Amino acid sequence: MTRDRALLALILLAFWSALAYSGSVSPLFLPEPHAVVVSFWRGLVSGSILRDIAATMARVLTGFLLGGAVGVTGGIFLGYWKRLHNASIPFLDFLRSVPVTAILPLFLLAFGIGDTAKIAAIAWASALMMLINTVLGVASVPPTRLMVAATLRASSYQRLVHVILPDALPQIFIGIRTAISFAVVVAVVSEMLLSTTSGIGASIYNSSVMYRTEDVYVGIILTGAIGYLLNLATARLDARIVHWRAR
Amino acid sequence: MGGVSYIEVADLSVAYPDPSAANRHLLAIDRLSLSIPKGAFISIVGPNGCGKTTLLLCLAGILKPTSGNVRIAGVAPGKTTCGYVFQNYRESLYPWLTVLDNIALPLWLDGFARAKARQAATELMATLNIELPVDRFPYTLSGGQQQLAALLRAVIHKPAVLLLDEPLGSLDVPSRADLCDAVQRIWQAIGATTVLVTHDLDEAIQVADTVVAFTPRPARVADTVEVPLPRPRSRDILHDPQVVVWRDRVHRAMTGGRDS
Repeated sequence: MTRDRALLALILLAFWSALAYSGSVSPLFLPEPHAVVVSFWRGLVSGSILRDIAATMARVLTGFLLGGAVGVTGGIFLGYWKRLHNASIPFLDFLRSVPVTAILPLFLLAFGIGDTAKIAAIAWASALMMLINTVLGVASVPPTRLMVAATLRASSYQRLVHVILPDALPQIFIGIRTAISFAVVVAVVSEMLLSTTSGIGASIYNSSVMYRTEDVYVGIILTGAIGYLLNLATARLDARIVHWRAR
Repeated sequence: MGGVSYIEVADLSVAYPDPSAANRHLLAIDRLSLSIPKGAFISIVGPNGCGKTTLLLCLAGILKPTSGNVRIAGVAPGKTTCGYVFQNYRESLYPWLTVLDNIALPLWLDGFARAKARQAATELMATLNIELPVDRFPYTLSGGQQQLAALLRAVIHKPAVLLLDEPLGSLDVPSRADLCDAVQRIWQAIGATTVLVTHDLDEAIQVADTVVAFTPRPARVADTVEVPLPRPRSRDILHDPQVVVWRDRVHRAMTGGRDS
């Protein structure tokens, strides 16, 4: 498996090199691999890459945590209140279909061009994902599990803490994994669209307007790597905590 | 059934909304009366869907009767402690808790500290001479072991009544025999008034003092048969000529006299 992956990486790199070094594609569209490596190294030495990663990650995590807390709380609430949930399904589907980029101007109007607007956009996207998945988890607890708690005269609070939340955890984790990947996307996009001086999105945008394509590639690869690592980390966490998934 | 009545069911009727027709109701139980002495072990047999589980849910206090009355030790069922074993052990055990924590759960919910509850679970198993891989999660155990854990969970808080809802229904033959033994041992050790619901006549007769046969829905008592045999009982008692006679009688009652 690992060998196959390394092999695939080499083939892709060879393909890229062939296209770039043969001169068949202009370096303005596809820079040579070594130019991207040099650019990456420069950024690393100057500290600009780490600054960008730190700025983007700070927005991703703040927005995700704020939105996640709101989403889980709202999800529990809607999971209990079936009537409101049923009424809200079309609205949730509607909101889910609206790209966050389309409502960025509203966040800009409300919060200005600072970090708050970006974090609010990330939080919005995370909250929606977490809410939809939490409702699903809370509303689909197997009836027998609730009856066990009822036969033991569990209070409503005990039912929530000992049965409903643990039972909803696998679905909540699906929400976490979807939301965190999405949070990275929203962070980079909002850094590109709402002018700023820090973050991977800002670096991609500034490099592109100055035709420094190799720096754009560095930004793209960083974004992909962050998304990949976050997914890996949440998948590991999921396997550890939700050990009973599909059992 | 002799002795002072402990569980008293009087004129109990339960109706459910009919899923196939709005504003219509299905009568699950029709003016059922039943009296069970303290500490007794009774089996209720009847065809599938005849209202047996409905009765247990009323005894557990989690389903309100449409009319009539249920009293346990003179009070409403919701005010007494009960242990309930469901047929579906995969759903009834909590997969996020270890086997030991599952067994200890009723004590936690009663406000015991975790360590104390666990200790009580360990002691219960020692008393009953039962061994289970308690540190593992329930889904890694065999069906019989899982149902045994569910049975221990149902008695750890010394409930006034023990309600067994087809506990052997999803088990293979060897596990059924093991659990049948465990049910009898636990009942003798705990002394809780026990009601077993099943559609398996052999199982009903093997474990109980009294077998009550229900009619098809809506449930009414069709016949009551006493089983005054010594314990512990193995499956061998089923070959006893007297048992064969009782078995036929219950079978006839359940089927309303058909194919006897």
